[in-house]
Amino acid sequence: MKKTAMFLSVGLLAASLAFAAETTGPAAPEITGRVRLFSSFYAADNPDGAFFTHKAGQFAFRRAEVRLKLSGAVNDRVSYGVRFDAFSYPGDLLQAGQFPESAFLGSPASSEHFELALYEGWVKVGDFLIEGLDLTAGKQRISWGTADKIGVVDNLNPIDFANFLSFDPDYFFERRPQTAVNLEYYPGGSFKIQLVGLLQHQVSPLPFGYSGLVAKFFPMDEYLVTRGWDDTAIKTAWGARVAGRAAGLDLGVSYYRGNLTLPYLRSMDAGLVASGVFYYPRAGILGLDLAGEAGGLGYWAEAAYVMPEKIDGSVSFPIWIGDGPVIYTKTFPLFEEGFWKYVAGADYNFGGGFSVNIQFLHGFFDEVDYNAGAEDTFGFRKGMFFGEPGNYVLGRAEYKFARDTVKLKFGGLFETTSNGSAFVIMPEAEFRVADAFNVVCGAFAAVSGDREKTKFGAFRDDGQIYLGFKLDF
Amino acid sequence: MKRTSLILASVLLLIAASAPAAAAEDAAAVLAGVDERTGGTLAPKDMQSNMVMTITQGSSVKVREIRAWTRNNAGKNDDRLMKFVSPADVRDVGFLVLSDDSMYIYLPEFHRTRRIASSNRKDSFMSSDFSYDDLGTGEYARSYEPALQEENAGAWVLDLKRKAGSDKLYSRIVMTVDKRMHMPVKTEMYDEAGRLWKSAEQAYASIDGYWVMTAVKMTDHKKGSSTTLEFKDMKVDKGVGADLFTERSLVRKIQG
Repeated sequence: MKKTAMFLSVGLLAASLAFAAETTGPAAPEITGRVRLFSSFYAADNPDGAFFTHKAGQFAFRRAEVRLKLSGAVNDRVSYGVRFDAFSYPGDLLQAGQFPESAFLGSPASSEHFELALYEGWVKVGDFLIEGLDLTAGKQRISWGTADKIGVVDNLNPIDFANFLSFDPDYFFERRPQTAVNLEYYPGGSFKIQLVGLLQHQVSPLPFGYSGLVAKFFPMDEYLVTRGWDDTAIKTAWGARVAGRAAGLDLGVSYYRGNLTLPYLRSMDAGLVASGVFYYPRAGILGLDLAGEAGGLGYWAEAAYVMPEKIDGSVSFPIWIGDGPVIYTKTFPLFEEGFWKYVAGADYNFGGGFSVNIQFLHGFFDEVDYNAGAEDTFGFRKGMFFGEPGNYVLGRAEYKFARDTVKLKFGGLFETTSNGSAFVIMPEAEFRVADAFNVVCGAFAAVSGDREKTKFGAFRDDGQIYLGFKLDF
Repeated sequence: MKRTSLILASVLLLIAASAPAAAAEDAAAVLAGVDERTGGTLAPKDMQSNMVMTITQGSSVKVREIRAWTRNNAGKNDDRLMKFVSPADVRDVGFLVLSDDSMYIYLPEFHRTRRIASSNRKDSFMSSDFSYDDLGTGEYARSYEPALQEENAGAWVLDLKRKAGSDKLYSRIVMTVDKRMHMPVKTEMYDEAGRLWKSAEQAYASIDGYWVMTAVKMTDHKKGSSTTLEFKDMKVDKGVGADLFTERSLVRKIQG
């Protein structure tokens, strides 16, 4: 598959380069980048936390990172970009485990280490084969949907779950680029037709120690994460999207077919050695998105109708019949046939440096609608990671002054489900010391919420204060 | 005698009554001429330039560079595309304004294009003394009611009062229009309380038969700072098409 994909992309590129008549010569490549330091520490003791165990003042997370990007244009139709990210201090955030976990995270417990990752590497060809058709091939962030960060339609770029739990604001809710062939056709006006084929099954990076976290929720001795997909071109993920502007609205309709990018529990075996199998379900996702404005108020919305494959979950356990144990297996449909996730948001700038942004989200990126059998057997519910879809209100007020050198931000997240509610505050102060050099100081604190019954209430004793330095060059 | 006096008084009254109307008509004509030359049928059909922005406050001097393309839509707002060149943390950020006031920003770090609300027009442009609105072409007559404040051999001075219902940032503008170019050379902008907020001084050059702005210095009297915007390598009427002002152009590298 990889070989086929490589030949395909090389062939497409060769064809496109042959068609790309040079009208402007190559420009000198630009080298840009970033140096960033980020560290956070806990504000309180939490010896028995569900996610983290720590003392007050203990470092939660430390990382130095360097980005290097080389970009340029061969001519006015062909451009390229390559970005490497280097991280120091990767290690365990939670504890080591068997999941395909990210090595991007770091903790003070690990010895010094270094990780280099190809973040993106792509070539873009304008007017590829026909006028108005752009091809981008390689590892890339794919533009999909309209929501800013918190979206439900984009399932092509997997969520960076590893960094979500670091509460690093630069990575919170961020997504990862994927190796893909991305065709964007602009027939005229604002109309756009997009077709994307991924050359690999994409998965979300998970934090180091993720299996240790899972063990707290599903006590097991062994875990198996199965990819469970046919490694054929036709079985990889793809998506199609049509977008355009009408009556002042930006509208988009999309369809994604591929695997969900997080692993979900599919079966449990409660034998002598308790084990669980996690897998990446395949699904079709119909997406609708829009953006517009009224009276200076910007608004946007996304809705995704998720249609997971019909597949059974199971639990096996021994029962004693006569003289010995007999393994009994109970099966049940894992997911509901279809369910909605959606987000709607609005923002407004009051002038004088003051702006607000608010959005309502139904269905966090990890949440899916399970069949009742799976809920009963595995204990999935609302208000937990990988649980049933819940409702969230996220908002941020920002005030900038002193010629935008100081930004004060107050972010909040309110979780509400039938199991209870939780409230998280995320205040932040950013100081632009000089052009392209920023210092940021902030906090993440779950100030209310049931520790057992709400997703964010579980972080009640994990409040963190962070400090970051960022230089772009 | 009485009859003569009556006629004379009537004529004087008529003249007195018609004088402000004539002045208003002149002011409207002058402003219409400005609109025609800055964004109407007498303005270049399109422009492209490298903008160098110098922000000065006390001893602090900051420089920003932007590449800009404008397409004139007579009677409507212009289409504008800007690509930020420096400083490094905003390099390749793109900004697109369409004639119907739809605004989009492209964030290259995430390859993400997002629509932004027009209320952001009130915001400072790249931390300068210009708001996003200041960078738009005039179309003053649509939002302001003009009156002739003064006229001398070289210039008209117009007093523009914001029309009810307009969302423009300034409640009042006093504009000095050079008679030779029929272009604004000095503009004073007032806040809601009627206090002087900003003033701008514009310089022009004749390019391909148009008076084209080559520099503008904006002073913010409240902040005590100023920003000079120079338009370098200005090109006009190069046939920049509507297809440049699209999401497609916003996200791609543009050479030349």
